[in-house]
Amino acid sequence: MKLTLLVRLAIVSVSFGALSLPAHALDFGSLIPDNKTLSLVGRSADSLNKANQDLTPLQQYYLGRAFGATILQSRKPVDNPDALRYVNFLGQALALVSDQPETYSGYRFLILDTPEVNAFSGPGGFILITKGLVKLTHNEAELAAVLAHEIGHVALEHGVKAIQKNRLTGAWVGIGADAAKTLGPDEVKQMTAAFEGSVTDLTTTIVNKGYSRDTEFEADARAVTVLRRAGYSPQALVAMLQELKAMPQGAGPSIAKTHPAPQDRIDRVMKLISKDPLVTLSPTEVSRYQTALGGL
Amino acid sequence: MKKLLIPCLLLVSWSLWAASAAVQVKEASLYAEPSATAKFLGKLPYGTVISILETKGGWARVAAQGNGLTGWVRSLSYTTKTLDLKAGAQTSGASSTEVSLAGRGFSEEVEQDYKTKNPTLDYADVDKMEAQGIPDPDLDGFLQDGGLNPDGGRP
Repeated sequence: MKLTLLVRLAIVSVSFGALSLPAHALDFGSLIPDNKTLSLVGRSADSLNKANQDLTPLQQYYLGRAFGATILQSRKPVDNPDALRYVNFLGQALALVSDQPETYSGYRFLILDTPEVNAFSGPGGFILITKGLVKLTHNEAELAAVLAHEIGHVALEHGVKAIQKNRLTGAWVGIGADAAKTLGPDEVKQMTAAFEGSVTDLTTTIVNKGYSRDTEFEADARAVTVLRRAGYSPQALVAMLQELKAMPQGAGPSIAKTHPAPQDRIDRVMKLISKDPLVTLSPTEVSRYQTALGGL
Repeated sequence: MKKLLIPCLLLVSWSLWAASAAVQVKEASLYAEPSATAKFLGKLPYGTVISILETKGGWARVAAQGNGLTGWVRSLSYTTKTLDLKAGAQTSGASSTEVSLAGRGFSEEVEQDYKTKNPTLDYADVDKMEAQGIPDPDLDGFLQDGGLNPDGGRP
């Protein structure tokens, strides 16, 4: 702890130096040979085309917060600190063994107090899962399967890819032209409009329309990898999909509306895990799951 | 003499920057070894300028400029694009890396403006959610308690 503080103190001055770089940085332009300048112009144009992919962890963090704030307008978190803490321990531990363990502020998990069966993952790792879905799980491995699937969406930046490209490029070009100055009130407005549009794209895709079938299969494949690495049976994902398949249809807005048919997903996952051995849950895993979620 | 000195200084700074990167996450965890189970040394905050000394798998051994503190961080926690930031700024300035590292793009200011325009958004619960961060060493503990190994598979 002491060390952390020391590190922070020592670095504050360095950080300020780094953040004020852009203004001085312009001076270095004179060192760039002409042909390089040309290629940089080309790259800037190229970077406009893939502006969404280029969203930094910090940009994704703000989008993820707004996405969460939007979902939480109509659905509230469960009032159960033990359950919330447990789902964060499990989810953050799984994220640690994923291919994308680090986002701007780290992965966070929340249980929404609704019988609805669904899960939503915002950019930067803001993952919201409904009580209805948590209650559909029988053990830690199955809950891990659900969280690992959502972590897969975040790691693959599916949310960010759902944002229409012109949302960002317009604002980036309009405001980015003079890189050294701070935003004026009109520019903040323009950037906020781009932000608002991006959040609308996120919620429309994730909550209303759902991702494409291939996108869901990709997240399932990532979930299998994460479950293996964390030492859980990837068969737990199949078990969860079977639960979804057994759910009565037409029970309001649910995971069925935004995801491919469970059987299609089961077939795909089975191909991936045919050689995986079954892993028995440890007594600790069994008891901590029951202790944390028993009161839900 | 002066005429020579300035280009020399510029070149020296250029080469220093060429080897450097910046922390792009809120806090990058610094470890003694390239593993989340290794001794935890501390955190490097967003924007910290680091030198990359060595890379291994998804990890890099880095030295924080200024205090020279060294250790291993995940490669995802830093960006080397600060170099583009200088060069790109001279051209069209359209790179989003440059925009964001310069404190532009989506920012706290934009979030504030967005909140004001949409007062029914529930940011209070998002803040609570964000406060649920668990330190890496405790996550290791959770994995190990369950008989799991953070570096993959059961021990």
